Amino acid sequence: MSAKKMKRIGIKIDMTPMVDIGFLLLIFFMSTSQFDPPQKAPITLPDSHSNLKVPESDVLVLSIDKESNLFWQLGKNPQEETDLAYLETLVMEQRRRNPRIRVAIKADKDSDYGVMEDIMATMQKTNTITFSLVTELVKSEKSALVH
Amino acid sequence: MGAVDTPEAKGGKKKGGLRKRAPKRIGIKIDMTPFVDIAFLLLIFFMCTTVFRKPQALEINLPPDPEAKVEIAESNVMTVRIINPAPPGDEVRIFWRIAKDPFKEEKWQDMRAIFSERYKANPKIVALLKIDREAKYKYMVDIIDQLQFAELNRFSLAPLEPKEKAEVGAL
Repeated sequence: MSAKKMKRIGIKIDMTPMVDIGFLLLIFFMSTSQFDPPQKAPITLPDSHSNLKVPESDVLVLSIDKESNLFWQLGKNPQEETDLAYLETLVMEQRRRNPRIRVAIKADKDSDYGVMEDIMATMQKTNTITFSLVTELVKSEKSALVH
Repeated sequence: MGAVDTPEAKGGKKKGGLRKRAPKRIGIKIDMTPFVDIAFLLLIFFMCTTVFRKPQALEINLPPDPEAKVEIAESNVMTVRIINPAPPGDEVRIFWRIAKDPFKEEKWQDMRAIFSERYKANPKIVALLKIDREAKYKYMVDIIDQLQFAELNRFSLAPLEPKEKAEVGAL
C-alpha cells in the first residue's frame, strides 16, 4: 500500500537556481579568462626532463617555426615576425626598455639547429647570456627522442 | 520546510468528512538550492585554484664574452660532434672523444651512460658540443637534457666547422 502511495509523490526539482548559478559562472569565466594571443605559426616544442619553469613576467618570447621563420612576442602583445638581421636591434631595444627582461626561445623541434646557433651568437653579442629554451616536460626516464 | 502533519483529532462532526486525504498528497519538495550553491561554490574554488601545466624550460648560459678563452686542460674536454648524415632524413650520427683520442661513434641512446661514466671518472670534465647546423633543434635539446641527467652540467656549444664535419663524416 505504501508503495502505491510513493508513486504518487511527484518530486519537482526547481532548476532555476542551478541555471542561475550556471550562467553566473559562465559570465564569470568568460569575462575573466585571458586568451593567449594567436600564434602565427604552430610550434611543436621539443621534449626534455628539465623542470624549471618559464618565467611569467618580463619575458621576451622568440619563436622559431618549422620553416625557421622568426617571431617575437612581448608579454600579451601580438606576435610579430622578425628576422635574424633585426634580432640584435630588437633584443637591445627591449633590454634597454626593461633591463629585467628575460629571453625565452620557443623553437619547433624540427627547426634547424643553425638558426639556433645564429640566435645564440646574437644573444652573446647583446650580452643576453642567460636565456631559457622552452620545452615540454616528459615524465619517462628514457630519452625523449625515439630513433 | 519539512512538513509535519499533525493529525487533528477526529472529534469534529462535519470536519472529518471535509478533510481531503492529506497524508497521501504531501508532495515532498527537497530544496536543491543550497546543495547546488555549495556544489558550484566548490566548482569555482577548484577552477580558480587549478594551475595549468606550464611549459618547462632548459636554461642556457653562454660565456659572457665570445673572445674570452677559458683554459681547460685538454684531458678534461670531451668533444661531442653531432652530424646530419649525407642523405637527409637518416638518423643523426654522434661522435665523441676525450682530448685528442680518435673519435668514437655511438648510438644516441647510449650517450647518457657515457656521459655519466665520464663524469664519474673525471668530475672536472667539460663537454664541448659541436652540432651540425643542418641537424634538427630537438637533438640539441636532447643532448643537453642527457648531459643534465648525467649531472654533467658544464658544457659549451661551439660551431661545427665543415672540416670537422668532414673528419667525422668519413669515419
